[in-house]
Amino acid sequence: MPLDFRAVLEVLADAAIVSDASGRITFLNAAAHTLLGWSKDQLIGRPLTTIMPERMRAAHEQGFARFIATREPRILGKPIRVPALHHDGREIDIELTLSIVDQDGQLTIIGVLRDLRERIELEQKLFSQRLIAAQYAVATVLADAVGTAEAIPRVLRALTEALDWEVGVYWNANPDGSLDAKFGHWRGDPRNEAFARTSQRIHLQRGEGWPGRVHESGQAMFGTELDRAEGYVRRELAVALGLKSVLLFPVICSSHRHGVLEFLSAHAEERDEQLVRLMTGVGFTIGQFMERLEIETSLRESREWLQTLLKSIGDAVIATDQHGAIRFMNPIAEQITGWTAAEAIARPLDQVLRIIDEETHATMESPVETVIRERRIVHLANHTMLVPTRAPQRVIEDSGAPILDRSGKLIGVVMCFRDVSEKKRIERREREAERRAAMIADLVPELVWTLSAEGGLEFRNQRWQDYAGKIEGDWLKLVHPADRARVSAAWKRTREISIPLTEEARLCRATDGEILWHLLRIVPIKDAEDRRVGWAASATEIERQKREEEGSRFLDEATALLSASLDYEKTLRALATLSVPRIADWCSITLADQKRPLIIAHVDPEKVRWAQELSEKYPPEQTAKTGAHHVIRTGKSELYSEIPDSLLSAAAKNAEHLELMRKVGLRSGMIVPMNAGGRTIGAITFISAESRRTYRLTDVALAEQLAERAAHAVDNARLYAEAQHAVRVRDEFLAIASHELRTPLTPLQLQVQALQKSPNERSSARLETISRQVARLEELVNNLVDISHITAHSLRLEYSTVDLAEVLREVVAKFQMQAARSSSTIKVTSIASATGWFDRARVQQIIANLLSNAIKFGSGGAIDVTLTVEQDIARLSVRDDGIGIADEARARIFERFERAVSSQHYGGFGLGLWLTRELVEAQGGAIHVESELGKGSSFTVALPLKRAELPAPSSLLEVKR
Amino acid sequence: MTSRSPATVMIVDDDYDIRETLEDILGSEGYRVLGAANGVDALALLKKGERPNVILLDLMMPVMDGETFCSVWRGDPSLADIPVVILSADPRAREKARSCGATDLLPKPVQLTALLAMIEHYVG
Repeated sequence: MPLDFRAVLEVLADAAIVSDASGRITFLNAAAHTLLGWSKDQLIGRPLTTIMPERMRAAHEQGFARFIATREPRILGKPIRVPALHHDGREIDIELTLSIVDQDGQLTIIGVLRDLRERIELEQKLFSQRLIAAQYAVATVLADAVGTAEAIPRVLRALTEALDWEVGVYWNANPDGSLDAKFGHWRGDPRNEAFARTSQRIHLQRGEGWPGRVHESGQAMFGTELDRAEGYVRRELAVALGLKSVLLFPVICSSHRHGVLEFLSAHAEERDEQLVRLMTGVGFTIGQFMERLEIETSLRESREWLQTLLKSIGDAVIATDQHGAIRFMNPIAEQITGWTAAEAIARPLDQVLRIIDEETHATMESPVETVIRERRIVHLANHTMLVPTRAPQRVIEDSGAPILDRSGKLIGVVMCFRDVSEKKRIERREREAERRAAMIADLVPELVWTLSAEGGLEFRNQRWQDYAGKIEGDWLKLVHPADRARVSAAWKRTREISIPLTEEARLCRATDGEILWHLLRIVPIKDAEDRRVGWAASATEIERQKREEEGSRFLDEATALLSASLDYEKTLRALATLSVPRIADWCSITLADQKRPLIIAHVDPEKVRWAQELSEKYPPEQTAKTGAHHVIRTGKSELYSEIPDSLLSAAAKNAEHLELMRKVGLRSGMIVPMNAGGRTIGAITFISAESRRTYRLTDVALAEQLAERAAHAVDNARLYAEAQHAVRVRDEFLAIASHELRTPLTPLQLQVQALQKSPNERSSARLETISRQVARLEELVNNLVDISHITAHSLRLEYSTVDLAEVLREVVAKFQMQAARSSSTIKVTSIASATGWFDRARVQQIIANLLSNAIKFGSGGAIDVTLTVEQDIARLSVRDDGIGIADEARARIFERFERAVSSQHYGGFGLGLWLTRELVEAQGGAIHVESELGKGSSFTVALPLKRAELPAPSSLLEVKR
Repeated sequence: MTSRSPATVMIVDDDYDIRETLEDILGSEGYRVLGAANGVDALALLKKGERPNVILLDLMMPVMDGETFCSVWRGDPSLADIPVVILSADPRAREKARSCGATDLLPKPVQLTALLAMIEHYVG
């Protein structure tokens, strides 16, 4: 491979200085200029000692002379540490590797210098520059090699491909000098595998076979005619497989011979000394690599070096001749182009690939063409695309360098390129994903933003920007101050334990200061390794839900409040107070019959006083086309989502009034009617000012519901008051009526009774009748009075110690005559005494009512009255054989104005049993009836004889009726 | 009827028939009966030096009602020892009787026997 070293050296990352056999500098590359500070003009033609410190010069000249004379191999390829003299006079430590090239008998000495102190800078240079194909391949392999076992097969592969030879074998040297073919690689004809495999089973004694010889001598061997190769152990197999040439070279290092590399070709290769030297150099490099692996002390340095080269992986190298025909391709170039080196070699570059502009896709000049034309190194940095004929196009970064012969004639071009399509694709995909995310983020109705891991604001979608305006730094500034502490605490917690945040909060809109409820969500963003790299946040407006929720809660509370009291003014005041600041900053309630608002509410009592004074000074117009009185007249709500200044001006009575109204900072308002029973009894006004909320139709709906409930509450209070009044009127009437009815009874009764005291034959029967009827009238009047007391819950009982048995005897005695008149007989079965704590008159009344009913409905039969006491409960039972009570009537006979039979046949108010039950229950007892239609009825009253909760007997006014 | 004079019963009632009836009945029972149509008339009689053994007092009366009369009666030590029995058809007579410090109560309509027993009790 006729490569001009100068061309290669020019692109080398390491500084390279070339001298002739006389020790005069003939060339230095750009890296050397950078490293030493000397320009080409300053050095070319000068002795090598120019770049050495004074003290070294004598030793160098001596050593150099010996080197030229002996070509002592051990210093070839062996890096040595020497000081170099920088142009500015500094001494710098460098690592020097010497190699020697013999072209047409002329010696060229190449020194590669590596700055040990400025390695990082060099690494960067190395990264962007190229090595020649084979060395590059090996270096690339060794760069990321971990150990010999892993590196050697790849070296074999890289070199067989770089050399375009068929089989590669590595012979590993054992400590006793014997060799084992540890690794083999083959390509091309599949039969080559047999050779590689066979070789791997062979063990060569020290000095045995060609590999043994090479190992012993440390010199490369090149066999161009395998069929005639003497002492070649696998000659027959090789010939059978059609392998014609063999190249062997030692993997050697100054201190140690590691093994031998062997390559076989199916072509009859011509002996190429340069190749042999090159491969010898490669052998040194590999040996050096192996040594480095073995030497602990150089491990770190080695790693740095390996890592430096590691960065070069992925670079493709293609070399062409001066006409642009391909002469070499490395595996990466093969991979990228889809061509194998074997196929591509000798083809014009444009058959394999072309280069286009990434954006316009216009075909561009390849670096090879540029170099051929301009004969200089070119770097076509970015925006180019490689279009291989056999592989997908890729975005590349490329460079090219001329290969010049000694006379400066262009003999080829080295083109290096790097596939950046993946990088570009990722970049593009990331950009695309980002743009798409941003687009999506702009489409959604939520505010969307991202935060860095530390919580700093990053991405913000359009809505966020529209809503939040110019907020920078801390996103919490977006949150309304009232909610900020709570959200801040939650956010802190979220960051501490890395869990999603979900909080409801009010956010302030920058444009108009409106405060809207949002649902905040923040979730951690994690990378592929599950590390938290930031936060994604969104805020969804939930104002409506929140208002509805708040509204219904508010309505519930308000309703509870409204039903809590029947004092409507108190109720309305509580309602207005509840409204601020829950749904309004100001709330006023105006009733239909009042000129000024009945109630004005605000959280600040000072403002309430001020507003009241204002409303007294400027009472609202009753006939205005807007406002509370208008709403009362029309029964229709008014909504002012915005309260512009013009509205205030229109409403203002004068300049002072306007100024005062402006001061309040009215923002939004609504006036809703209080409708109840088809009438509008008033209007409620809600005003938003400092809270900056804006009312909408949904708010009006809520307010209307509230007003309606308030109206009903007011109406209920009115109805209740009316009912109360009606009850009072009725009670008064009853009281007067009973008084007025009793008054005439008094003289009537007294007169009859006085007459009866001095009876005469003729009048006594008549007086008896009059007396009976007066008594009956008295009873009716008394019942009426009792009923009025019971319904007014003012029945008073007068308790005393009462013997039920005694009372029973008295009452029965009174009724004997009456019973006799209806041919009934009263039979009493009673215990001797049943003493308890009762209202004597009421007990008499109870027994009298039951007996009277028994006589009335008993059809003149037997009436059995029994009184028993069992477990402190007295049971009085009155049983008749009368008409009985139908089942359906039994349940209702104890109700007011109810009777089991028609009033046409039996007189009375139908109040007797109801009154009896009331009187029994008032004394802690119970009454029940058993009856069968046509067979009579049995009423039983159970009265407890002992009751704990009885009132104390009065000291005065025992019952004397 | 044996004469129990000079036991005197004062009737304070605006109802003429009641006054007449009681004067008639109690008169025939041997009591001296003083009739007054209201509190003012009653106080006038008392001012004249009348000292009845018992006063039967109605509550609802024009000019001066029973309760007002009671407050005067209680406030005057020379009258305080005369028993005052409320004789009323007022449904709230019991409460009123208590609150105005009356000695006793006879709700209207009244049984003759109860009336006579009551008077007997306080005159006796």
